[in-house]
Amino acid sequence: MEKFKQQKIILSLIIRKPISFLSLIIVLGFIVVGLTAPILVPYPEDAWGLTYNVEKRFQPPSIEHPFGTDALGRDVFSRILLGSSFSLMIAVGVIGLALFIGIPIGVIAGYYGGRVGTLLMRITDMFLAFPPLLLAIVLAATLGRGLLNLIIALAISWWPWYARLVYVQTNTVKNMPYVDAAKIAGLPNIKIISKHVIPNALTPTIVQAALDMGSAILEAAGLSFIGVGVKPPTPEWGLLVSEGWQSINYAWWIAFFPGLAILITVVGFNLLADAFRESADPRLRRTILMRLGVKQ
Amino acid sequence: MPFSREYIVKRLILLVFVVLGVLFITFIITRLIPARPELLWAGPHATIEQIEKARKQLHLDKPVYVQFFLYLQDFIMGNWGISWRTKSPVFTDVLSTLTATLELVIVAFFIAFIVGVLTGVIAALKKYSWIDDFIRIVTVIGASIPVFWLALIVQLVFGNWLGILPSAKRVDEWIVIVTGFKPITGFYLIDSIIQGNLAVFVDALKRIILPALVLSTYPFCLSARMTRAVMIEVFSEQHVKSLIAWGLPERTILFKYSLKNTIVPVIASLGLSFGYTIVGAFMVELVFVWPGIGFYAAMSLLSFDYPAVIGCVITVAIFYCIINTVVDLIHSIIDPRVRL
Amino acid sequence: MYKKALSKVLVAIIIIVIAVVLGVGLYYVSLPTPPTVTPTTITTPTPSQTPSVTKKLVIYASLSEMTTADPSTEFSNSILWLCLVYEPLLWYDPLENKFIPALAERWESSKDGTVWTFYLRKGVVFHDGTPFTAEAVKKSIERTIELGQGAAFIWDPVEKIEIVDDYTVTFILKYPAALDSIAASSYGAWIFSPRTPNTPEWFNQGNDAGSGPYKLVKWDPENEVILEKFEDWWGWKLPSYEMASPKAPDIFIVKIVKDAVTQERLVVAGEIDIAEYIPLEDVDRLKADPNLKVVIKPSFQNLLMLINTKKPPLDNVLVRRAIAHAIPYEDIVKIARSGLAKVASGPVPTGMPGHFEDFRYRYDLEEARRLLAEAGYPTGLDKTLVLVYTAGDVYEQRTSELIAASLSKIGIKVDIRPMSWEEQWALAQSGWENPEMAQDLFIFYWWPTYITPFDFLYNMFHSGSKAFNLCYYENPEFERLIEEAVSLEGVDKSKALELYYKAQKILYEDVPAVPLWDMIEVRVGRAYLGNLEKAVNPAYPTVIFAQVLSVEK
Repeated sequence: MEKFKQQKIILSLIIRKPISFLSLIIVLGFIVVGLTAPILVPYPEDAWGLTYNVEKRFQPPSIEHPFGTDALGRDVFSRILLGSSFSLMIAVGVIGLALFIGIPIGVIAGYYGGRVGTLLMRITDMFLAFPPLLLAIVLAATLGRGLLNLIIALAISWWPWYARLVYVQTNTVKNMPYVDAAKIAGLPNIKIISKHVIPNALTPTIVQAALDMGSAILEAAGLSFIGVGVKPPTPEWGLLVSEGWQSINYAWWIAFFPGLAILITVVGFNLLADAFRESADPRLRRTILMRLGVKQ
Repeated sequence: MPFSREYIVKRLILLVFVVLGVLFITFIITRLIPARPELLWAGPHATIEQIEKARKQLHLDKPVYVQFFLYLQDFIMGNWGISWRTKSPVFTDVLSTLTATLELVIVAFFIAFIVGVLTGVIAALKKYSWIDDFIRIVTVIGASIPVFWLALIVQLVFGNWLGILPSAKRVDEWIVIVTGFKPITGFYLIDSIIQGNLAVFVDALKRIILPALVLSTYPFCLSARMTRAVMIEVFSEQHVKSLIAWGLPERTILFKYSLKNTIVPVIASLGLSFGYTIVGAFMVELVFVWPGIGFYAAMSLLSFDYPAVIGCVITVAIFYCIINTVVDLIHSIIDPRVRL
Repeated sequence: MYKKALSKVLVAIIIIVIAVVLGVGLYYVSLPTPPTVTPTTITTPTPSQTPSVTKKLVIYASLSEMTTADPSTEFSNSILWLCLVYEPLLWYDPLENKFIPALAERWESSKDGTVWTFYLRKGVVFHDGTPFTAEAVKKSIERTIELGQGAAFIWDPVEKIEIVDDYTVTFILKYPAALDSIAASSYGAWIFSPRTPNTPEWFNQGNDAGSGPYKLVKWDPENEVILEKFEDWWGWKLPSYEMASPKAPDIFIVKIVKDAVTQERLVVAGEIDIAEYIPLEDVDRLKADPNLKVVIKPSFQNLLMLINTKKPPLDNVLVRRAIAHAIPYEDIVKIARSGLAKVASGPVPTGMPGHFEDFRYRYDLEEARRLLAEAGYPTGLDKTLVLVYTAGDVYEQRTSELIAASLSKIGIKVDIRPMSWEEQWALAQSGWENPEMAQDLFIFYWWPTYITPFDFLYNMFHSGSKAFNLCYYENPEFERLIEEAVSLEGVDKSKALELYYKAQKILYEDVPAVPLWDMIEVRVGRAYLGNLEKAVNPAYPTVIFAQVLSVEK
């Protein structure tokens, strides 16, 4: 009951602030579009790169083609729209895989501690010693181009953050009275972990992970741009920008709009993350609530 | 003395271990993941003898743990392999590109630091006003922007459409030849001042502005937000509150008590954003044809020049570790509470 | 305590800043004169007396970095400056179909085409001061043959080289061959000084041993190569010589600029003088710019799609023919090259001897479907074909995407894979051992080493050429035809052409590869560059003959 109320306050805080509300709309919109894009696209053949049109090359934005057409006469809007599906797929894939690796390591290291825990966290630290994206670059270069390789490369450079987060959370939860009680009651470790530790340690991690999807999209686009990401004619946003670069002097719209799509999506995720952080901070929350005139 | 030699030594030892960790991971990625690493190393059109030679060079005929130690030895001796693309040792290639990148990154951080602190102070002073909201949105956008796209757009608009600033290369060949400019340190801005070569200095300055601005976006946002947060915190502290109550002018409080406290966290945040920025330099340098390590790495990636890519990655990673250590040390010298 | 620490750091910073400023200031003050005019990269004899502003400087942007500097073995991008620093015995102008004398003034061959005599130019000196004689010719070509790398194969017909006197040299051949064409080859035909060390290391340190109109003064293959006028070049003193201009640039810089978009910007802004590659859709706009000059010339580079003829279902000639009819040639030229190419007719490009106009496939999807059905695939192929192209090449990428889109219309699915050239080539090499593992389709450029159809037909389709016959095509009758044709080239040109026609007819029927387009080259230069058109010669791809430029700046 208590918890439910808190979530409601956070949600109402987010909705009340216009910027936060907008970010929520962007994120939800991105997810909806990403799921339905294959059905929605006005020119599916253009989007999948199955066709070309000599007469329609390099058309500037118009009503028929709101974002213009590219070097092969394909509708840029359709390609960007379909690109959202790929971005969603990449984001979910990367975050999912990173959680899949990071959570067990964090829980084991945090719950059991000792030598195993130290070793696991040292390995995690080794990965964290790389600047972001750099490890993904070298992995993607080793594995070769392709959607799956891109996801794997990013996930491998990503999981240490979650392992660390889960580790810290587990450490806190581990010392809670109810865990001690369960231990005294003689519950096996597996049960304690699955019943008490994971649910409590996981919530903040999952929230963080969901909000990290923006960064995953951004980094995947960067990898595609420097040529170690997906293969053409996949309409991934970073690759679309890189393709548009070839004719940017002549037709700016081909590179401009996919970049804008990345920007808006990532801004949506990051603003939402910001709003969450703010509303989760009790001191800040009080001030905002006061300013909004919400009674507590 | 608030300055502990013990801590520094401890931190440096830790640095050695972190670098070892970085080398260990790259060892795994480059030697153990590929099925036949010598093929990647020997490169295209390799003859049987060349592949055999690469096998020897990579010590693949020895047990894995021996391989790792020999790999470390090669790394320290600068035997980083031969680039397929340039046919010269990767080590010298990387060294020759470093200064260009450092010059760019230093200018970018300089801009980020100055503008970031100023913006952060304004946001903190006007907290919860529309200015604060605006700054917040700008910094979030700045941190979300795809840096390669920003580079393209900035180049297109300022370099091409408006034609205000040149948008490629470090310096104009013609000016270099006419004035007889010869780089000494490799930092063109410094070299041109040393030689009193105004023409090259102006040209180099004009050319560094756009890429440095693009590159400074992310660290700027981070330092602005950090400044704002710290300032607000300082202002809410009891002794500052009482100063305000005593009626001390706001400016005095700002400069004497608050701003000073922001320097450390801002430096820390810039240190954090160094990793992101240097990888961003891969793309920015590619777009602006800036002959630094990022350009070299991006070109090597495009031609799948494996030894060169690995060389760049290790160099950048180690740089990142060193910067982090330095930031920590500065942190600890200024604020001994950090040392735990 | 904390305050103390901060002030310590501040003091330290201030001291460092003062030290640096003082150091820089002292250094600056201690210099005798402002070091503004001391050219150090260029070693001009008396730099202070020649006002450097009057020097004519031309900067040429090259898309690819330079490779090696050894004139015997270089077989790649360095042709760009080798052509200015070194000279062959003859140059060849394919558009007017004539030879231009270089180091040889005259030449003649025996009736059966097996003995060739060259009469050499007198008064030529190499950059090291050594006079040019027959000895240099013999030693240079023998070194190239001995090293046996790069384009050394062009000298295969040569049995021995005999020095008749200082200015006469005779080549005795094993079999008849067109030695004049070979001597004008774009690779492996350079003559260099016999008195220089001439080891690969020496060359790759940035030394040159040439006799050409320019000297190599800076060798930084990844960034720039700087050439300076060789004042003692014989051509400058020969007013009637067509390969020299009185207003040629004094300094010629090859600057590596790796993308077309930047090259375009630089040439528009006047930061470079000639751009090698620009985005082709911009050509019309650039033509309208009064500050620029656009040169459009045919080239002998063509793009083909090599088909893996040993891997099912492509081992079936009907499937290959179906593919040939399902490729929209005209559209590819329009989209991939913005119209700046010609639809290919056979593997020998337009304008070369041995090119014939009867080998174009008709774009006809109905015919393609019919052929596919006849081959036993009425609903299309169940297997996805793998098409590889060179990553980063936008023309190849667009061509590949179009081919994939078009083949999907007759039920053939294509997976496009961008790869580095090396990776691609290594994969394709494995096809000789195991065609199943190799790619299905390979987008492939070819350009000739010297001007003969044999170069195209042998390298890509003869089973003896394991390196580049990546169709894995083997056909004894075809091989017999081209071998006979090449031996007739030096003796009976028309008979040779007849045989080349027959050979290409076989390829047309068998479809081991689909020729896509013959490239038309575009160079964009500043308007003050006179003779830019003349400086481009399709027999020497990417080269700008700087010595014929007339700089009106």
